Amino acid sequence: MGPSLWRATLQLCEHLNQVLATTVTQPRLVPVEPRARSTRIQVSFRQGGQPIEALLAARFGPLRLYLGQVCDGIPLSDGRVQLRTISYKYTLTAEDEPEPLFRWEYGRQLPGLYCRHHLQGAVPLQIGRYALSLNDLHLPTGYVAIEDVLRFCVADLGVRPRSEGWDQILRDSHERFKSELDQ
Amino acid sequence: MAPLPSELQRAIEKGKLTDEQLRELITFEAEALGLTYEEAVERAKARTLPRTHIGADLELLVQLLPA
Repeated sequence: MGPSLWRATLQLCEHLNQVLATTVTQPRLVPVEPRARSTRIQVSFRQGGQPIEALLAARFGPLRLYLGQVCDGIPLSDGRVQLRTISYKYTLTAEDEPEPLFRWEYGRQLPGLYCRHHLQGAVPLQIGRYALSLNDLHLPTGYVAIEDVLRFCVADLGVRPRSEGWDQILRDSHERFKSELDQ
Repeated sequence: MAPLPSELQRAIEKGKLTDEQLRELITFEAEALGLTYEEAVERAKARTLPRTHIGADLELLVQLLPA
């Protein structure tokens, strides 16, 4: 929360960049806001203005992580603005693979009949005698916080944490933004 | 992806883009995927962009455009 959409997003980015730097990776989330209409803002990893992926050394080899969100702001009665997630896209891609292994996605205004919070990816599936891919399905999820993805990277994929306190850092961050970010 | 013009890079570092700069950024990301601005916007709305990080970023950027 903050006095404006821009200030609230800056606070979110500063906080998440600190969390990222002390858990799994150094690249920074950067906010981009249209100057003329301060109603939506995008946040993603950028370097030199370009979207980038963070490189992670996992137990199974190098992985590339992309994090991106679009938020708007809900005006509160005390004059502050609460961030609300409009969309997110988080992807994990194995090095040298063209498509992500996992894509966590959410779209508030997603068309179609599918679950708006879902997981997809280039994961082969066998259902009875039918061979398909997780990309063919929209596997339902709840709201997936960035902290959840970072925890998955460390706990399941074996990415070496950047500090001993990574578990508590992720717990504290998740608690803080569960109350401050309208999901 | 080709390096962005320094003026656009500076605007992104500050976080505030004019409508023209937002279109310029979308155009650069679209060209990295071999698409025009118009094709990228259409495919972003149809959610049929390539499943790369640039495609993901482009789809989110298009949501900043006026409806």
